[in-house]
Amino acid sequence: MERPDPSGRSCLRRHVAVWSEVIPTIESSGVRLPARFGDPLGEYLATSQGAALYYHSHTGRLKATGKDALDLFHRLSTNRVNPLDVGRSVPTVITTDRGRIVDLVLVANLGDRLLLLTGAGNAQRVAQWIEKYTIMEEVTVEDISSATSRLTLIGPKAVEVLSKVISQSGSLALYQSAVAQVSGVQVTVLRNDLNSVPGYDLIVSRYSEEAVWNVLIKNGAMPVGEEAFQAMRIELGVPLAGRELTEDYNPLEAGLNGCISFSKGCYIGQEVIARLDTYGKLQRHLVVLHLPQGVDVKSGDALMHAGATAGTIISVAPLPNGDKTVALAYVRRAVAEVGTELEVSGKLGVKATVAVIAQPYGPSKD
Amino acid sequence: MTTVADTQKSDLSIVYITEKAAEKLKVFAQKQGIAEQFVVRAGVKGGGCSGLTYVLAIEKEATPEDKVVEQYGVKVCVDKKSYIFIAGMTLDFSDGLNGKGFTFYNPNAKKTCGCGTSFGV
Repeated sequence: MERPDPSGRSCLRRHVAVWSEVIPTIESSGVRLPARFGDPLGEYLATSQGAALYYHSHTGRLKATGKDALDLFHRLSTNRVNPLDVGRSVPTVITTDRGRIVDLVLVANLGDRLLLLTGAGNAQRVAQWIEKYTIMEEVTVEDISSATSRLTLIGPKAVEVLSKVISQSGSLALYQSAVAQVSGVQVTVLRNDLNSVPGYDLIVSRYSEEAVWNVLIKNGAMPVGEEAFQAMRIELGVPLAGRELTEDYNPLEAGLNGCISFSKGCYIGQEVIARLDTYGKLQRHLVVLHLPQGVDVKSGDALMHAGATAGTIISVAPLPNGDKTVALAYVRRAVAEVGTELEVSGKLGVKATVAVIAQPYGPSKD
Repeated sequence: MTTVADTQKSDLSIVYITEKAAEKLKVFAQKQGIAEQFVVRAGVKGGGCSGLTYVLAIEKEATPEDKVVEQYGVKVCVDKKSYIFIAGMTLDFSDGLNGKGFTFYNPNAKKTCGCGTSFGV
């Protein structure tokens, strides 16, 4: 695989206007992001075979302090958040009293503060949600999204690349974090795999993002645009905020079982989620569909089975290797089985096969 | 003597406790070794299956920002933020074989969870 000229990729532009002069951009989650850096196939392959570097700053970052913070988050979300050792983090779903998804958040204990990684565009929403439920507790939340950057390194070679720059990367277990210096810049590294693919989130000050980005490139990371990232995450069955994760769905049907504790006690929406699990009343489930390459299918398209409506497509991406098109869809429980063939409404002859029942965080641990 | 039945006509500006609750609270204070001078903090914290959760604790003294009410020889203190959620509430205590312990009868609560510790407004 030939590496295109790195100089076009080695500079990271903060300003959208300047960025779009250099590379094609695409609108995603309400922001302009690089679509691709020049080698779409190479970028896609980097995510599954190499070390892909994805500019992830459009997601939210909140800083929380106060002695009651962990306790409050424990009562506002699905997973066991309290206690949480320093240097560890936990993915958890903030839910409404009807058990619907507000956001999937990674809560990291950095010692003197908690860091919350929220979904794209959700920083304010999550901050306000927490504030609404802060009554007598001592909790302060600050939106640090624009002051910081999140660079995500994904792929089987991610640890190899990262270890050249941060020596202790190799020893980071899933959801473990460490603070390190890269080119004189302070970086918080969080091991945050994408389903089965190893991944590392690097949180740095916005001011220092370019320096860290360049160092990673120099050490073998390949910058990947939105096209490659979306293709990879859809293929892996990873749902995202604003797309598959919205208040229209509950965390069980979104396949977030691994982020739910069924034994931790009271949290908002707990009774609804416990009932759904106990009585098996899930109506639908998130699945990965495989469709032929080149089909004209888009978000919102209805899926049919035996003449009846069976689901809705949420996200679609053609695989850059030309192999097939992948999609994430919510389908009725009865057809949420690997191998089931569905039709796309209005697109005669286009078949969508259920390939994976999405459960990117695994089954519930307790 | 305030009974739970009186909550229908409760003055929505105070937090009430029944005589039974007051007696039980005094016992708890004694166990903590501060029976001579104590306050009972009643409050609300966020979260819990219905959205908000009751807090009940025995402390040494109230803070200057608290609203304090004395009933049956027991001082009940409530912080300002919690106050709007529990003003007009009655705290009772029921023991015995089927007793539920400390129970909150809150006219502000639109819903309550099965275990009684969480409520929503």
